[in-house]
Amino acid sequence: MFPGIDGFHWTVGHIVFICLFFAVAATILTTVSSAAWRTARIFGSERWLTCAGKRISRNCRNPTADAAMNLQDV
Amino acid sequence: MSSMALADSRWIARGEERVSLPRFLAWLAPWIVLLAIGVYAAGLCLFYGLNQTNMDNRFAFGLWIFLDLGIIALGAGAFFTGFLVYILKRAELRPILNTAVVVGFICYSGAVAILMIDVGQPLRAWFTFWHPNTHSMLTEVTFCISCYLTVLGLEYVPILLRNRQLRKLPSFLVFERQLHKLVPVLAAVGTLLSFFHQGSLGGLYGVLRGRPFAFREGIFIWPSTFFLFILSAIATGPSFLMLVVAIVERVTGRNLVAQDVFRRLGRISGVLLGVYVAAKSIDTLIWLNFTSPSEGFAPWQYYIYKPFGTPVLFTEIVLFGLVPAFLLTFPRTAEHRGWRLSAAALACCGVLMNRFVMTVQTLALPTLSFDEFLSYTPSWQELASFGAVIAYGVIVYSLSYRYLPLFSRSGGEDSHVPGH
Repeated sequence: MFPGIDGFHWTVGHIVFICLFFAVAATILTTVSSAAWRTARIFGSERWLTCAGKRISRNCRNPTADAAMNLQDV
Repeated sequence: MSSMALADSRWIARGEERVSLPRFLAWLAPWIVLLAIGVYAAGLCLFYGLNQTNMDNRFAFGLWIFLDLGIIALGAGAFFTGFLVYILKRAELRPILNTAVVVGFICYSGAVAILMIDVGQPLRAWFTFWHPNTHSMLTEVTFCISCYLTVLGLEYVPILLRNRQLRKLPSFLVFERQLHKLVPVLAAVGTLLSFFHQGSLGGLYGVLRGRPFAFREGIFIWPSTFFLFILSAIATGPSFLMLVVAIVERVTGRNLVAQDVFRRLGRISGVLLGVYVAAKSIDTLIWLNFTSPSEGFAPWQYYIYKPFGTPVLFTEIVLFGLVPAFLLTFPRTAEHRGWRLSAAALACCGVLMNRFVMTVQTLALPTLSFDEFLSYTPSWQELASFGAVIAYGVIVYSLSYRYLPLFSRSGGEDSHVPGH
């Protein structure tokens, strides 16, 4: 049982379990948020052009590169 | 070319050859029918309740739990390959990484789907998170599997975003790139979660003091089955990946992965299987000679009921354990593709048999003087739901293979491993 449930009282087991679970959940959440935030930041500062440019230089016939080039023109 | 076929071809990676759309749909059709029958059966179970199954108070664990344990063990190739590539930096295994993620995602999502039917009241599934029994192995399993499925989903996203059409969207392209950079973190989390839930799935049998066939002594709070389940899962996960890729190669008629990758996977699987068989043998001997007699049960009592005689024990440890371990590690057989794949199939059968024995034989055997040996035959609804999970796996893998770069050999960014 968790806090808020009738009859609940804390034990070491609860604390260890909840700490471990939230540590894992926080790591997963932070990872995704970080990727999303970096994506937003790259788009906000137009650095995505550099990012897309890397793709262009590595594989210039890639359709993504074409799309990026089109967007660069815009 | 019809407009539909043209539209379909636009979603297939450039330079990749795939069968025509009608042929692909013909391949999918029987699986879709199987899936539809299974969904109908699952619907019956959800609507009318678990009386649609042949489970009862004695056989509270049946075909579905066997399926869960089996596919979760076989799906261990996902976390173990991620661990080898991202943590141990075994970059030579990266050609198999995408397919490992897809197979893992299919296995775990299939397991969770069947669990939702098995709990009987899926609308109360959240109870397990809000009213957890922190002394139960199943609580750990529930939390870890839920988190790990999320992790697998997140690992699947970058693969999805590499689809030819999705790549055209710059925001997806950049997000895929950023998420891909962080995949090692997810791999590390996945390893931690998998280690504990694979172990706890074994541990939950080992702590059954009322079921002396399954009960085991152990270290601190962990019975020996905790470690045996981890070992057997990481030993057979790579074998299952080998089998999946070999089947895909057979169906598509293409060489998708270099033989060297197969050899390495086979060797890893063989060595780990050898360690598992040794540990399992020691554990069995301790159980037969000390643990079981101390509980008041002579070991022969477990093997007098057909079909669970001593041949089952022999088959599990020797035929499906020792033999494939030998075939995968002995240089002459390990080099031969046919022997290697046969050994991989035996290893997979071994882990499935182990999970079957732990689930069904444990519950079938009498434990009290007035108990009887019980048999259990699944209902058609259980079998159909079982088939639906397999059909779901085939469909998702087929779609992934057709539209996603699962076996990229370009050496470009698709196969780039962060941290290298």
